[in-house]
Amino acid sequence: MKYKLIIDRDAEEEIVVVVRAPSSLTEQIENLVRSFSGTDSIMGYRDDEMRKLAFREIECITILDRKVIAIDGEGKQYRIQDRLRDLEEILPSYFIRINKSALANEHRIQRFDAAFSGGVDAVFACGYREYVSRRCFAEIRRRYEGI
Amino acid sequence: MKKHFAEFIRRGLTACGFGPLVLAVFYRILQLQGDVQTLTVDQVCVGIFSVSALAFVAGGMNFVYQIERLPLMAAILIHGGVLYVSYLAVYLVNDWLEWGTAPILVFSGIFVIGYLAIWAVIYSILRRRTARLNAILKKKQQNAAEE
Repeated sequence: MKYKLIIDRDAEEEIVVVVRAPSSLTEQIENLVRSFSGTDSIMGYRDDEMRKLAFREIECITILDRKVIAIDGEGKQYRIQDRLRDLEEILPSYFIRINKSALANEHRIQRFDAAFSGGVDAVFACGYREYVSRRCFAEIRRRYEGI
Repeated sequence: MKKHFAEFIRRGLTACGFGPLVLAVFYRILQLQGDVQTLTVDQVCVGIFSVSALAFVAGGMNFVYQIERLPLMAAILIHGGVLYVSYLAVYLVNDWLEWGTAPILVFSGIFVIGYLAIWAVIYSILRRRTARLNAILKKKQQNAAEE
């Protein structure tokens, strides 16, 4: 693997990583860049509380009662002001879409549960469950199994 | 709802063209077996109309699998129920099945057994896929924790 540093005072600063597949290294670089540029968290609102939620502590971002909600490791729910579509663009690559209205932190998924109804649920470390749509399940399989 | 209805119509129209083709194959098989040698105009017309309608319904009903939130079992039950009624009606209208309790019960039994067998296969595949995905997820999380 090569390392290249280009110093150009006139260029817009960016870090480009060329790899064959995402790995823990690319994730660490991504986290480092996000933390350096201050884009590793979002603001969450709960009752009168306002909290900066680091991406890594969010387990799932979903839509409940038409509101975008982030669920943390303790199962606490925080209202987020951004739209899910906009969040998808700024979230790190370890956030995966599990249905059309939920994004999951794959590090915090405890397991996938196949229900007899034929549905699949993602069970998070805090105990929260969210259904995985068939389309997203196929996409996750492609991503994990490379099929 | 409107979107699903439009999808039903679109899929139904695509599939209904195959109805007369299936009917022709069906009658050809019956002729080769010596069960049917001649057909009346009435039989041909009823056959074409009913099998086209059946193909429309069978094709159109696939839209239920596109409804993201609907569990697979519910989708299969709705699909199966509509297909059962449609097939039974077409078989009876065309005199391919005798009127009476016994023939209808035999037909229903075969249909239910067929559906249960399909469901058992689908469920076992889903469980296997979920278990495989969980194993990969666990491995990924262990690697991330070690690094």
